[in-house]
Amino acid sequence: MEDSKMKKFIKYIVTAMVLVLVCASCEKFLDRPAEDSYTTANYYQNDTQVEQSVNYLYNSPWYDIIRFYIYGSETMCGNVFQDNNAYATLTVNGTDADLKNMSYSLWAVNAQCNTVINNILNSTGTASQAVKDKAMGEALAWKAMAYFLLVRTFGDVPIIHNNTEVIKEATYNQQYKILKTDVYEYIIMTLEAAMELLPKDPNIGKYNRIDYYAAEGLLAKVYLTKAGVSGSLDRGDLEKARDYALDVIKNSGRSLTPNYSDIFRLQPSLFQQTGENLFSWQWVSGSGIWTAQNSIQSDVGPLGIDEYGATWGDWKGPSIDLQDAFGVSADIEPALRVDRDDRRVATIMMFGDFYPQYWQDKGGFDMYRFYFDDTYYPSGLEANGSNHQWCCQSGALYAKHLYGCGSDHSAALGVSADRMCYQLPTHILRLADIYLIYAEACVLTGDDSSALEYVNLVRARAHAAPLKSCTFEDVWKERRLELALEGDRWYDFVRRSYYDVDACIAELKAQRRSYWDGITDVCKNYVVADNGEYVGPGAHSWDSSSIIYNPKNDLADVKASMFTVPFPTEDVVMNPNVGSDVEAIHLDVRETFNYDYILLNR
Amino acid sequence: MIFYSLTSLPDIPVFDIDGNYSTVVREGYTTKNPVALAMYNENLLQRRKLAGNVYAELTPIKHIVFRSEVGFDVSDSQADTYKPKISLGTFQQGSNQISQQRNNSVYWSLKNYLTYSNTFGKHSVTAMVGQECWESSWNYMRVANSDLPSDEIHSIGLATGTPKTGGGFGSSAMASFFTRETYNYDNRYIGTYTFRYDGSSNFGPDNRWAGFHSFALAWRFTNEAFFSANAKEVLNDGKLRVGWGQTGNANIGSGAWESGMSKMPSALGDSQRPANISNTGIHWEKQQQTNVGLDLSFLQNRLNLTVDLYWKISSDMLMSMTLPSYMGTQGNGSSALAAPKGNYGTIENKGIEITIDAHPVEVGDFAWDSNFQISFNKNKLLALDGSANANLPGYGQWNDIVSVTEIGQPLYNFYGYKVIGVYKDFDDIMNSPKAEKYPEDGVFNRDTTVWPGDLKFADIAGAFDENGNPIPDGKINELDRTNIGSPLPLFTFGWTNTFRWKNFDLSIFLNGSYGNKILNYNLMGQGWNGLVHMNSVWYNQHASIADRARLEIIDAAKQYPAGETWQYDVTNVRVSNADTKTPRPTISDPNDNDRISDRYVEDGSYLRVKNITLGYTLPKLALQKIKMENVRLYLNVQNLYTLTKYQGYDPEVGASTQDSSGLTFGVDNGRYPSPMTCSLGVNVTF
Repeated sequence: MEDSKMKKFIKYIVTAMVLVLVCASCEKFLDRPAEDSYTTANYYQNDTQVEQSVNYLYNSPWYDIIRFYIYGSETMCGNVFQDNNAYATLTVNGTDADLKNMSYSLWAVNAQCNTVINNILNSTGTASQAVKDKAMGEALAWKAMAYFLLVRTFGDVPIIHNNTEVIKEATYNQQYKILKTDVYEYIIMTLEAAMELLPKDPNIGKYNRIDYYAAEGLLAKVYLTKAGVSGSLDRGDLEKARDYALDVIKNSGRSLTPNYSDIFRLQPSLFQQTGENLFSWQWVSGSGIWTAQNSIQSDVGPLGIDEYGATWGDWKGPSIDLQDAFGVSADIEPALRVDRDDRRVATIMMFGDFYPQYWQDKGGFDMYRFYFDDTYYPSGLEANGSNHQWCCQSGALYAKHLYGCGSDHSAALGVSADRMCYQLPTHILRLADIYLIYAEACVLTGDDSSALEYVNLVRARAHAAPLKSCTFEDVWKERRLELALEGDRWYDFVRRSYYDVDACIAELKAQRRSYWDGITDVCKNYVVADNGEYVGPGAHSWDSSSIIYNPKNDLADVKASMFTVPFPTEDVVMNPNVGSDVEAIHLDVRETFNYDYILLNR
Repeated sequence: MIFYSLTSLPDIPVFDIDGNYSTVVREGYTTKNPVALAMYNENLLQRRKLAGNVYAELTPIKHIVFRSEVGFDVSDSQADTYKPKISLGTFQQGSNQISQQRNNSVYWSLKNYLTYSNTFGKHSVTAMVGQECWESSWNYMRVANSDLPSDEIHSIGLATGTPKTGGGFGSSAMASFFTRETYNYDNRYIGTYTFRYDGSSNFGPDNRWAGFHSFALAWRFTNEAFFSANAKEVLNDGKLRVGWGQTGNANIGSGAWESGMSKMPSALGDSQRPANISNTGIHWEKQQQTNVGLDLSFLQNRLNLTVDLYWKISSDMLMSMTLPSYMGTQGNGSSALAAPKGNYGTIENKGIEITIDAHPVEVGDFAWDSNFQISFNKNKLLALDGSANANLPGYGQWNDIVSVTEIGQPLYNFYGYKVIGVYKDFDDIMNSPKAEKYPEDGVFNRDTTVWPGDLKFADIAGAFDENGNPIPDGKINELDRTNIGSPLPLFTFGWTNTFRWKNFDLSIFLNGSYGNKILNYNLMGQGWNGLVHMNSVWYNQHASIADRARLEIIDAAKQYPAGETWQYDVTNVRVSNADTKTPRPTISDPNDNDRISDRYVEDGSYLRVKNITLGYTLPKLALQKIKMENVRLYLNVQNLYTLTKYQGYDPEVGASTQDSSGLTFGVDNGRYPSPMTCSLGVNVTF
């Protein structure tokens, strides 16, 4: 081509390019919505999506609470021993990491529930009203659970009824703490709305989700707690707690899981058959997404129980006081130990105990060999002689919340566990709790015989001898044995402190919250021969005189104010109304908030 | 890793006698051997990149130039990680893990300009219109698995665990139209006007486009008639510049205008969670800058001086809304509900920059060049959405607020308590503002209440006077947190000196910063393992704790019943070194001595010998024989020496990598220090 023709040619090409690019709709060029994931606009379209849209409320937003819940609160109430720890001394600060994470988690649950409900209400797809109702009911029930934990932990807290509205109105920095009496009323109205939406039909053998009766069970517990909030017990509230609890017991179709320890196993079939689980965190492993999984064993399991190198729970263990409550003690020779019922072994792991469900590829888990036999490791780990030389000085370990090792997990579920990642569900409201709520409401309204009947049903399942009579103290103690290490006991104290704080103070001060000096050496000598080899019990005689209780962590001083945990202080930077010095305000919650936008738009 | 190294006990060697990584277990606890940790785990990243640019320029009509430019950048990367089985004391990893990630991205851009330029006598004009657009698209895929049969072969195909997969794709684009007109009269008066109209895919349909104007005027007064030739001997060139302009910023990531969903399964099955709260109104951030500049060249460019003054307002700033934690936006990123992103703030920056470029000596074989730059900048948050006390918090390790930017204040001020000293004895506790853990019932306990030797914090606020100003309320609580120092320097500077003598050249570059503070987060740690917390025998501690408050008995004769000792008697203990500002050792720490306070804030000023290069160029004559053009040998030393009072490794801290909101500055959180590097090199030109 000639030079001029060439130039002309280029000119045309370039002009064409310009025209195409300028004119071919810049808008189209710039319109790039997310293509590799859903948005609220194209999700919530059909029954499956709406039902699934609340699945994550059963795990992820709760993830940050677990440390506070499973061992912070359990340490405060005296069920768990931790040496020199602010939870042990009831002096935790508003800047404590576990405390803040607990708070973040509960507020995240509230925000997520509020948002999911809005999204479902705004959806335009083909999902049926029944499925939408069920999903929104589950979200409201979880929201109520979050607020129930908030009010019992912090006392007065702000009420964020609808996050989207608060952001729209820009009032997020002007919220006040609301008096706890009003917060209880708010929880009740939330549960009432949830129960209106949730299905009632008992679906035997498929109790995996929250239904009407699960929400009603929670409502019973809320009424029982609220009953004392004024400083003295309100009979009307107690009767409501009693009646709601009884309705769950009689009509929900749920029953106690026959074998107590099956409640805490990996396989959902073991407890979902009977529906003992009313509210559970349903963790999942194998997704690779953080917060989907359970990681509690890392915090409470002993170093080396699984092969992922991420357990550090030897520093805390069931307290001597909890052992006392079960009638056992770590300073006594394990061979002479006598258990009163099934719950001790399922709750507290002690030397001499054997767990067939853990380390199944080794024939079961033997705590003695785990600590002192160098040849005893799960497959994958090599013996190096330095793994376990030291165990929790209360002489006991958590038995609840353990799943074992990788092969146990794969055998039970067909999915691998991973570092800080397993699928063991965590139950936070169980039918046995409802039985005991019913018993407590009965005993406080003067009906001791009904209380006795239900306490004995709970005891019978654990093969404990029946009680002959039942007082408040009996129910109080039974709750501890049944629900120990499940994050519930501290809130028993909170409930009781509303109307009888002196009894709570006296009990905490009387607890054996400290540790044994010399226990590791005695335990080791008992099973290890002079040449350092593990030979099993009887290697040397048990020298209980070398185990001495060191009372250093016992509580000398408990104040009534310690039953309220300080509200995290960081938000004060943005909103002075939530400062520790600012009084909470009274709010007529039923006047101010309602769920009509859900209930009336159906 | 840096933090592991700092907290490792100093008496534990890296290797044992057999040459393996050593580890020591004490009471069942091991600090992970930081060297082993660094060497065992494998992190490989390979990047491939192909980039290019072609353009065509033609002049279809006289005075008109058309230029078209196409650019592209195609890249892919591959990230492989491998964690082997490890057995180091109690640091046990019995399962190996492998992951592979592949990323691809394609970027292209197209620019077209049409420029007209002409000169009419002393007037010369140019006018340009143009268009520019680019598109960037990306995708990635990730696979991870565990339980390989052995650590020898790192192939994901051999893994036997449950595979985990992830992936995604997306794109973004921008389109712009612009025009620029300049007018120059006699090389004395120069004026420029620019307008651009930008569209970004980061914003929703109604807010994609925004227009920005700017003007600039310059006066080269040395070309004026009144400027005599004699004066030009001294000042050979001088120019005064004035400008005002707008620019835009769309840098907030895509998708903020939609409410996206993220996968979050539970044991009940698959699920999608709302990933953020959408803000359909999000739009361009506008920056408006006014500047005045002066360029002066003296003595035939031997001495050049440039001074720039600027004043810049960034409005509608793009950021995440800062919400209190009760809005559910805090905690793990995958469990919290992310706050909406939008245009929430206004920031002002003012400053002056001075550059002196000099060639003071040029005598025979010797020459000395010197370049000195100094910048002063002041910024301020002018406005923020929300309420009157809205502010921008900056976070430390997780969710702990370490800095707060308040309206009307400079950015990123560290935020915490001021330490006055320690409580020297019981009377001091009683006569000072009441600590949070002051026992109302008068029962003191060294593990659960405030105690002699605890830090005494300043009581700043709590009540208000009649003008609404905060006044002390006699209580220490969260309201007493305040500004405890600014991480921003008063000025920063750099100074390069180059000396040449015959074939040798020597260049020395110094830089530094003055007046900034650093929050030494390593001292504070994650609450339980800080370098000054004195609450664990398993962690190394900082030397400054030698000055900790030491408790001593007051009345040695006082008698106690069995089981009680003076250490637990609040009226019979006092601090022997009462002037210290380091608290007593306590594990339960009831007074929360470890909280964020000016205890961790240090002076971050420094002067650093950043770079020294000594070079020698071989004589040309010798080179010609071996057909080489140029050969230069050099020795280079970076970061040779730093003069600073800062106690951490490196005062050059900068923006925090931990806080994704980018609102934290000057927080030293185990940052990798700049290494001292020596290199020897040869430059050869054929």
